[in-house]
Amino acid sequence: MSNEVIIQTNELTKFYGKSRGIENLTLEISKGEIFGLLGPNGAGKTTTIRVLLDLIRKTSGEAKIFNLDVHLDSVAIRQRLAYLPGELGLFQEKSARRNIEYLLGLYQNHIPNRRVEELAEVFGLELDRKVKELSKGNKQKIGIILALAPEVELLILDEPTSGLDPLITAEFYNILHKQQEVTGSTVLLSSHLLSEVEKVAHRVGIIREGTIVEVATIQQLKHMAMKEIKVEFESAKSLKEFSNKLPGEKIEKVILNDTHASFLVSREELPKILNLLSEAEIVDTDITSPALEDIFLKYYQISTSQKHEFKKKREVES
Amino acid sequence: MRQFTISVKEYFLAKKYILLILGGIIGLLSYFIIYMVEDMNLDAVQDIIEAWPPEMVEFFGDTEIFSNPYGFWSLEILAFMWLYAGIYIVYMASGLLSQEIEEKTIDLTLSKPITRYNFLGSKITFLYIFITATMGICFLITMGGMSFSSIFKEEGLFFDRLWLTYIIVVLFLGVLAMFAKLFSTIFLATRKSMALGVVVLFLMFFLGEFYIYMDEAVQGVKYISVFFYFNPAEYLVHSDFPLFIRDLIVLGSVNAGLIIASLLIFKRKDIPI
Repeated sequence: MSNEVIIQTNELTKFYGKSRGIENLTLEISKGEIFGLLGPNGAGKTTTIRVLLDLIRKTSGEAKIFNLDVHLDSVAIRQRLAYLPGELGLFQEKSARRNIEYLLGLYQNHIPNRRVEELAEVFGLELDRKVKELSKGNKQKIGIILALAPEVELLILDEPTSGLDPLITAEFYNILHKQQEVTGSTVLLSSHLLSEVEKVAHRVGIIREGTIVEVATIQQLKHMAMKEIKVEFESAKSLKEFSNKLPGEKIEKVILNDTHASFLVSREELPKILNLLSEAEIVDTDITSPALEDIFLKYYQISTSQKHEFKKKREVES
Repeated sequence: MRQFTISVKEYFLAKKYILLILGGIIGLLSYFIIYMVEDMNLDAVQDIIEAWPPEMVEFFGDTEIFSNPYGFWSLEILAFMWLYAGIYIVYMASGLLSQEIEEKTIDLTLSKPITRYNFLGSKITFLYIFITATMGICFLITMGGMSFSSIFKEEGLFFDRLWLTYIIVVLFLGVLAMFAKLFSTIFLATRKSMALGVVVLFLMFFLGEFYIYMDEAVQGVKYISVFFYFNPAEYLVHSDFPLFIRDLIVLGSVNAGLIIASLLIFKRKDIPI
């Protein structure tokens, strides 16, 4: 990764009439980075991508790719990128090959057919069948070939593995990873599945209600996560005694039954809890990090004011 | 320019059979009319027409047009070209852009290094190529038919007039297509654009052809109809060159205006998801 910024948005806002698409979205993606844009449906991922591609026009703010304005220099930008839309539309009456030839033919430079054949072989796609005869997964493979065949500096992938089986999904990420390592291209990958993004992304941006609420590496996200401690006490009395000693407002506790309890603890509070546990009468204990998916979901449960407080705190810390 | 050519070629390949079928069918219909004229007593037709009310005669042109083989052919074929070819062309023009939006193929195409002018311009160019080629097939069949027809040979083979008429027919159908294209760029929806395109077509037909039945004070509305500037029988029968030039300028300008408006509107449009 280099310090050169490939995608830059500043206070980017898009309203569809009165309804919000994205609002004050600020983002920077560096050269060679795989950036995951995460958020549920309607969060603003696709709107962000469509503004970047000049398919829709911003209401206010600034958006640049390769330090060029996404609207004024859109053709020059699009010559250097490939895009896989979330809802892939292909020419149904044409064969997969004809679709690919036509769409890749719109690039100013020639894209070798050999590359298309190679990718089709890897993904097991029959190029000469009509698109309308293909399954959803096979149609998606055409989109993937269209994105991976040209050697471009930036790949924008909107829900790229939708409809693909796990094996092909794994193969796709494998090829993406290899290609990215060889070419040093930048990748903007949008998804609502953190489990997919975490395998390849260097950083993720979590988008909520049209605004980026967090940008962090996967490790940072994991670090920010609460630990879950499951404890089996000797008796109900020891559970009660332990429970009374806990700093209530900082720890979320769930009493499962008379002797079993579960606690969600921040990293800062973890040593204190372990100390208390060492003094308690316990039979067994288990400390786990929650799945990244749970962390992601947590961002969608906190209120907007909490979000701003959280961001401020993170800024002070950094 | 390369992208432009690729796009035009792509649309052309997709519609090549329809083009041949449409041009061929209208051409054969035209051939049938030529064949029919061969056995007709046009002087007797003129006698019948002279018995009609003057407004009705004016509606068709004049009595001389009926008694002339070119005039009769023009009334049967060219005067109804809006019906034979126009409605299909309006349908095609309304869907050429909006179908790409409805089927979401536009996202992939416009994410490639192609300008919006280029994208829409290639569709418009294709429409004109389609109209030119369809009418070309029809006129070639017609000219072939006239070359073998004794009545047309007797009248004289005015192929120069026919070519001038051909230009006007292309421009006339072009206007109908460009109205639908304009609606398509405004609404980005096939059904709405198609409906409006057909409504405008019939409205203009009504205003351009039936104005003589209206009150004299409002007869001026005929000038807003493209049908008023489409007078193939006059060019063919009377060789009315000044009228041809007027119609050429008006239809050409309306085409140009509609193309520019479509391009400018599309340039500013958000592509809906």
